[in-house]
Amino acid sequence: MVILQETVVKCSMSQNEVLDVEGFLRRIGGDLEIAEAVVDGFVQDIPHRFAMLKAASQAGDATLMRQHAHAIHGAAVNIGAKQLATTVRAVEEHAKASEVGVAVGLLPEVELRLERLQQAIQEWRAK
Amino acid sequence: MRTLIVEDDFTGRLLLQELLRNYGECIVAEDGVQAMKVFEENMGKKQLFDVICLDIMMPGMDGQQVLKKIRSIEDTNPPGSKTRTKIIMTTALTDKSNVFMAFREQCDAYLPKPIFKEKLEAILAEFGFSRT
Repeated sequence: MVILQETVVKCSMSQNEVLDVEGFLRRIGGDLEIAEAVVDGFVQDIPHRFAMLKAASQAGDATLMRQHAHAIHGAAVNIGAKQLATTVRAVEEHAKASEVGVAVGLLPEVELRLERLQQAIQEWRAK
Repeated sequence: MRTLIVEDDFTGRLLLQELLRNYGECIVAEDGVQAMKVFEENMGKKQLFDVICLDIMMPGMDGQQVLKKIRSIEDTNPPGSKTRTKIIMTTALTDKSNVFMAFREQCDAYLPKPIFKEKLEAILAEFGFSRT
């Protein structure tokens, strides 16, 4: 199941969907300094937040899972990380519906999208 | 303009701080409980906030509860003693029930994520605030 999801991700993922830098810049008035500061903040914070999401999933705590997924979703939406936002939103919705098993099953996909996003951010910052 | 940013997500806090840095002082709170503490402490010192950017889904005390509590505190103030704080809901929750509830509890604006600088500045301009 995870392999299938990964394949789908690989096939459908365009760079813009991983990190829409242009869209983010448009939303903040083209201020590159703000974009870099916020994306750097995201990179620092998100591993901790994802670890908390995983811990909540291991504890089977749907409420905490929803809260952490929601926070990651909000952060992803703000910086234009569309793919991550979509997947983590699904985690949030399933956790809200107390479908913990389904939500937990999506975490490998969230992790994969996070890795891709961090790679895209590194590439963008290296330019 | 004196602003209180209430947001549990670090990236969201950082973005709002950056977008508002030219408007004046920004204080941040990481959840609803901390927000109420900061709000009441500042009120006690008569250091009022002009604007509060308030997320909804936060652990402990959510933004809807914070909004309701702030408005109930403001209602106990003597008439004319202070201007009501402008409260902007800054949230990824866009379902009708949350929007309806926020306006019922007297928020002043609802700004869904992703945050657009232009929209935020348009709301602030409508409130009569500009960059310093």
